[in-house]
Amino acid sequence: MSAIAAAAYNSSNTTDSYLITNADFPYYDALVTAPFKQGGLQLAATFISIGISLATSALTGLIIYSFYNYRSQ
Amino acid sequence: MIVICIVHSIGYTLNEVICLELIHAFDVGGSMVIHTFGAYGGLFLSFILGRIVRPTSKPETSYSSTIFAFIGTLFLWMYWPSFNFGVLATTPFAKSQIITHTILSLTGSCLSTFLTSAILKTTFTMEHLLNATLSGGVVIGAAAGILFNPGAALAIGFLCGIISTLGYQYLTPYM
Repeated sequence: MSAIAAAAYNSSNTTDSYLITNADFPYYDALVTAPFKQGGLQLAATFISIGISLATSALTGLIIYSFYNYRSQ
Repeated sequence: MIVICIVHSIGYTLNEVICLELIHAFDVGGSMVIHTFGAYGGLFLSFILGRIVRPTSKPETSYSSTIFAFIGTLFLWMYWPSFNFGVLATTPFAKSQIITHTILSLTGSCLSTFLTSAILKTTFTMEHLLNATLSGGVVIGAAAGILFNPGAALAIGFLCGIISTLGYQYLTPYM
């Protein structure tokens, strides 16, 4: 499929000195063969990042709250 | 600050290992791994610390600190494309693709930030301009290497600038 994309680019840019080949689309093959898989992975990574960041912040808040309580006693 | 540095470094490393090493999600500019982690972590921690410390006065900014922050924003704006293509771009075409999409997205966010800021307060607010103008570079990091439509990059940046400005305007009082 990336060969089709490369051909489309090349046909519209025939005067370019640099001809685009399959090697110029390192990630395109994986996206075309399994587009929903990569989309799902990105969505999963986003929610994992949100979850870990909230958990980390909650842990930090808990530690700082403990310090505050300890100092105020 | 020491506690935040230690705990968040561990959390960030764990997040990066899970998202990039285990899941193998495609993220050239670190939109998910770096910026999502930092944004939600920072917001939630600000919310928690605000409840613990209970500050009595609002934060104040001076002219010189604003100027320095503006210079920082300018440099970030200029060098954001190199940040996005620096890690995973292996071919000249991939590099130019990521650079083009990042610049277009930054331009879109810059335009919409000025527009939204002027609509919200009739004059430009420096806080909006310092932060929301860069949101285009942040948001396009995950998609800059896989997009094939420059208009989409511009539209994504434009939308993100509006959301970011509205967030600064309406979420900051709750922090």
